[in-house]
Amino acid sequence: MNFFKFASLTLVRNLSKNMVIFLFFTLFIFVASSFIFTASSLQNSLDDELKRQPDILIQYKKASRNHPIDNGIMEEIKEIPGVEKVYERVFGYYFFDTANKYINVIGVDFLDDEQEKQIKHLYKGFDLKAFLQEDNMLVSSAVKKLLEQYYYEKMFNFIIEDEEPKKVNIYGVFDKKANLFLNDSVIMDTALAKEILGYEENEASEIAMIVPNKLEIDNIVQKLLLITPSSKIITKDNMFKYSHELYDYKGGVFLTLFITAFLGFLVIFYSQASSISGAGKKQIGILRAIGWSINDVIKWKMSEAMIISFVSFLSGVLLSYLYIFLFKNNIFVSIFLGSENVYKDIALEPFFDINSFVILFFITVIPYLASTLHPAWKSSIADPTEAIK
Amino acid sequence: MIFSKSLVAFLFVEATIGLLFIFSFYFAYMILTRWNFNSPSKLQYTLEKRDYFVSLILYFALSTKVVLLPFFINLLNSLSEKLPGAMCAAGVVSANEYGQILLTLKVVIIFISGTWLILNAKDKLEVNLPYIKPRYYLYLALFSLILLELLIEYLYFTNISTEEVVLCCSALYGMSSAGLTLPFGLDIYGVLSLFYATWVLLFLSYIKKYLLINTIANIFYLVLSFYALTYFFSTYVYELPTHKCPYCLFQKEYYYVGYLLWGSLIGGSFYSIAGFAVAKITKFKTDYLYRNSLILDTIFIAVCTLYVVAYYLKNGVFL
Repeated sequence: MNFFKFASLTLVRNLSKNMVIFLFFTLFIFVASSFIFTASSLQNSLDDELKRQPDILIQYKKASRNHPIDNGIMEEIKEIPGVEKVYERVFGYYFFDTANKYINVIGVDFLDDEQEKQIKHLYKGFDLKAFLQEDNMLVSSAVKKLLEQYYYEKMFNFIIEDEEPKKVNIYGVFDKKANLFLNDSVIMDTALAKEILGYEENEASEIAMIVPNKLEIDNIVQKLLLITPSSKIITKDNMFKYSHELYDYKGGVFLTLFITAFLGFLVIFYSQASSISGAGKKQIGILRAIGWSINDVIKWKMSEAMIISFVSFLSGVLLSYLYIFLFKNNIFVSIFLGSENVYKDIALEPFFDINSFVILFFITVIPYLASTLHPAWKSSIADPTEAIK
Repeated sequence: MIFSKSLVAFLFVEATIGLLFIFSFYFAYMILTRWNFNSPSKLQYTLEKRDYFVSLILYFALSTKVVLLPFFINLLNSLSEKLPGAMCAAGVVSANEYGQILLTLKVVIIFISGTWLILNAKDKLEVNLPYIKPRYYLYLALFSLILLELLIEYLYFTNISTEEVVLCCSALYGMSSAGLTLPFGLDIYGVLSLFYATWVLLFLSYIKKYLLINTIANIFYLVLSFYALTYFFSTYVYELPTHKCPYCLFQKEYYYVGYLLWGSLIGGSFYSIAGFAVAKITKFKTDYLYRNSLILDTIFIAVCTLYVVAYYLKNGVFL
């Protein structure tokens, strides 16, 4: 403990020199931890969202592209024991030609209790009757902004092949909390969505089902394969696995690049710690002369390195936490989500997981301490009589 | 090849430690070949100083390795999500032939480097560093093990296939497996009675200071504990008679109790073995090491027994 106190005093003495290391190291940790915070927050939000998704999805693929699925098979699926509920889902991209952007059109069955509940959650004071009386839609704040640029204040004309343009009123803007997943989306009634996306009445994007007993899922998948042998069946476990793999992969690629850069930086640390000024040498010489052993000097030097690295680590993590979760649209989000489509209006949910924190510690503090081992030893063995001369 | 954030960080830290060892090897080699305490030469003076560097590196390596071991277990658990069939680290470890070797090697390295540091501390108490030769022979062993570990880590992680189906823990250790082989042809109650008897032996040999017996009993205890924990006590932790697995203990559902159980068991054996080695090489008394060993072994057996007792009190039956 005494060494820590002494080390903090000597650090303050050489403030300008130590400040440079401190600032550089903090900056490095800031960048790395911003990335890690963003990744784990996105991952966490996605996991939460996936939990609310149906247990099994059926999609129909042609040449591995999504193709409308015939919703007639729903009757057959309802007969499978263990399936509580089957419903169709309709969604797809509408190409907004003038703006050269894609708008995600989502159809929702407002007469279904569960789906209606979710919408109510998105939009306060939602009046179902008024909404369904005309062709209405809910839009995200980003889509609202896009439409306003083209003077669509109250409504929007969807252009449909071989038909008159479909006029749909903008009923309102839904809660910003949903922006992470619905940033480029508009929500409307299923029938209307089918019309805009060019689906026939008996077609849907996918068929979803809810299975209360999770142990039944594998069994039900086998039975579904008998009904529709050619379609693709996705279970909730698949979705989780895929999303985790994606984020882990992106995170791993970033870490690899970061480590490469950090290695170069360590060389600077190393040479900086190795070069001891004349005054520094004299200081060690005096300490050795008054009875400090080599081990004591090493302990003192290592305490200095520990103080610098821990303080930098904490301040870097704290700064990045503030930046990532207080500021909207931080630059790290675009690394994961891309920035080509509509304007992003995303605030991340604060989330802290200990594993990411440990990873960050391992790739920054441990190599930093390792790079100071040799300089600490080197300075401690200097001959005291030579140094004081 | 498997890829994840934690894996990148883990391999990076392991490589850093390996690099430090390679860095210090030259110094250690010089000390081993040229050491002569009675010589007044400049070389001898330099070698004495270099000894400090080697011990600094060892100290750093051991502290990092000790922190890294739970992280490694956690990493294996998290990788199980990516392997078809794996439910916990058991499947990941058995994904290829290197997994089990790697785990054992990690524990052995921690044992040796810990012993080295205790020996080093004893050596520094003397004026003429009398134990430097055994210390550096031990270092050589450690150095080769660290390099071997790096190699096996590389082979292990590059040879995990994400396509092939691996076995889950109930297939490896459970009822259905043909591999239910208990040592010495005993049944599980035989193992249990031996397990408790060994603890009594540990206790008595510590009181009576039969240190050699204590160490041998400790190694025996380590082996028996593995079987007792996997095939008997773990079922009480999971509260399921068919779930037998030494790795699922590390998961969140069981409050990470595996870290406490395995930590105390490995720590207990380490102190006893280190105590014996240090006492053999030096003239110092190592009773306090045996005391630590007994405390940790007792924590292990107490926690295990508590699970059984708690289950009985809650449900009124044994599994």
